[in-house]
Amino acid sequence: MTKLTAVILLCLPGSLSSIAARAADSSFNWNGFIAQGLIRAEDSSFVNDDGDWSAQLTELGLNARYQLAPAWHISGQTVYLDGGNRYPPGLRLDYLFVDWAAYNSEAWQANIYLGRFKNQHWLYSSTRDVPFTRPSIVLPQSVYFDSFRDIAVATDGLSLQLRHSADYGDLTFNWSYGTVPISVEQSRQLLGQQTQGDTRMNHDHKLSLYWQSLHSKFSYGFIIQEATFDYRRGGTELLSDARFTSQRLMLAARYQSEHWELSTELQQEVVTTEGFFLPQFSRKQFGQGGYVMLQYYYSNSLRLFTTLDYAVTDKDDRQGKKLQQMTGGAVPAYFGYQHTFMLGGSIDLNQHWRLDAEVHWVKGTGRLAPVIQPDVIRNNSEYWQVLALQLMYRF
Amino acid sequence: MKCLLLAVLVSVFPLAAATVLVHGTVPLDSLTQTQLRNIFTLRQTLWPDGTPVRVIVMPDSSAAHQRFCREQLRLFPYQLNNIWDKHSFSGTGRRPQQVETSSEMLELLRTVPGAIGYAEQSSTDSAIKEVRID
Repeated sequence: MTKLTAVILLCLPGSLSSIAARAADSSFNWNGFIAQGLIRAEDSSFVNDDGDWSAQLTELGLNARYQLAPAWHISGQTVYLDGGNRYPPGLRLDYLFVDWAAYNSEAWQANIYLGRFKNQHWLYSSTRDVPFTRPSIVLPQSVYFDSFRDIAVATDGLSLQLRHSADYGDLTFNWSYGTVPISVEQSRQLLGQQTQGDTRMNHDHKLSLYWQSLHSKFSYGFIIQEATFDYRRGGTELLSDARFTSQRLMLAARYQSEHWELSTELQQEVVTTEGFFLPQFSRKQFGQGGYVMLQYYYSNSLRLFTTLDYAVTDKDDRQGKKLQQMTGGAVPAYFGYQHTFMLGGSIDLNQHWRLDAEVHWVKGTGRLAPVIQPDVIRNNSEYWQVLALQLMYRF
Repeated sequence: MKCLLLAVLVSVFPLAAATVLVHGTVPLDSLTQTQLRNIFTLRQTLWPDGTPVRVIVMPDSSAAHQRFCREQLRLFPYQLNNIWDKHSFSGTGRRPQQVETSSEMLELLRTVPGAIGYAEQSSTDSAIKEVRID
């Protein structure tokens, strides 16, 4: 053994402790993740136009949090995402906000967030792009509709989180208000690839309340939200200016035991359209959906999961028959719904690496982009499948 | 026979709960179970004197961590992990500092102001304070 090796070995335990102490005491900390997968969505344009295997399942992220003062922090994260047709690919500023711990005591905590902050209202909304933190590679589309990912994932504005602990359990109240910038690609993905106009969100208002009784394995949530969008038509297109309003009501529940976790979110969304197809066009549609997910923790490193997901675009037309009739047969009835059964597994290779695999059996195409003018050419099959495999690394 | 005797003894006289330890300057001698849970789930991030709380934990695979989670927090390790990930990847908190051994845990509790952690036994180090859980 050389002297140098001996010195390194002797110094190592002390060095590791001092590195850990510096990290624990530091005002700055950062994390990141890299994930790459393979995905195939046969007989649909969910991922790509040919339904073949694709490597468009890439997620990279780097975040940092800096303590400006004991009660003040600034946090930011950038991500690069490529999900094929699921959402526009590219680099995004995921969040960047100032966090003020306005009140922090044993029983009450209040935080105010200013800037671009994540959607904290749904069970998995705040970390839906972080592979280690979501339960499956593709989340239930009834609630986590990929085409709305950029609109639903974060907001530019002001948010408040208020938490209270008492004999009856823990209460968490979230409120947020702001807007979301909508890119041309995003607008086309939602409204149709041929549209030439601009879409702007006027406001996004969300409110949620979660309750977990003391030492209970159950927690419950209630969420309401409203967003309005304006569409300004392009110079030569035949479409009209429009206003879209979305109002969503959600219920969430979760049960967590040592080996089992059951989660569910149910939603009803009222989408009002005024204009767009014609200046005097007006429609109010009640969409409904929800999922039940069961996860089984076989060991610290192996998890199995399954989901039943149900979504209809119009609760008064669950079979899509009216939709087909209304469009003179141009839009098949199966665009009125999308129901999925999913099975998957996840294995932690060590504390940095994880491998996920899952298969989805899908009936219907109601949750495929574009929403307003569906792609009936590429999505000509009522039944389709998704196979996905993803390897992820965190640091 | 020895194993059987040990099993009987453990079931009759269960092992003592993990001891909660803090840096010596933390201005508290006791915590309620709710407060302890709020601290380890990153809800309470400041001590009463305004010092930031620095949570120190052992890995999920450690028996000490598993016992601490179940007995003191009444949570399973995966639940804590999910909560920490949600905070650290949405920018609303920092993941606790993880250490590999109990000696490393004690070293950080001794040197990092605002630190809180746990151990299987009490510490005789004057720079570390044992906190009573009411």
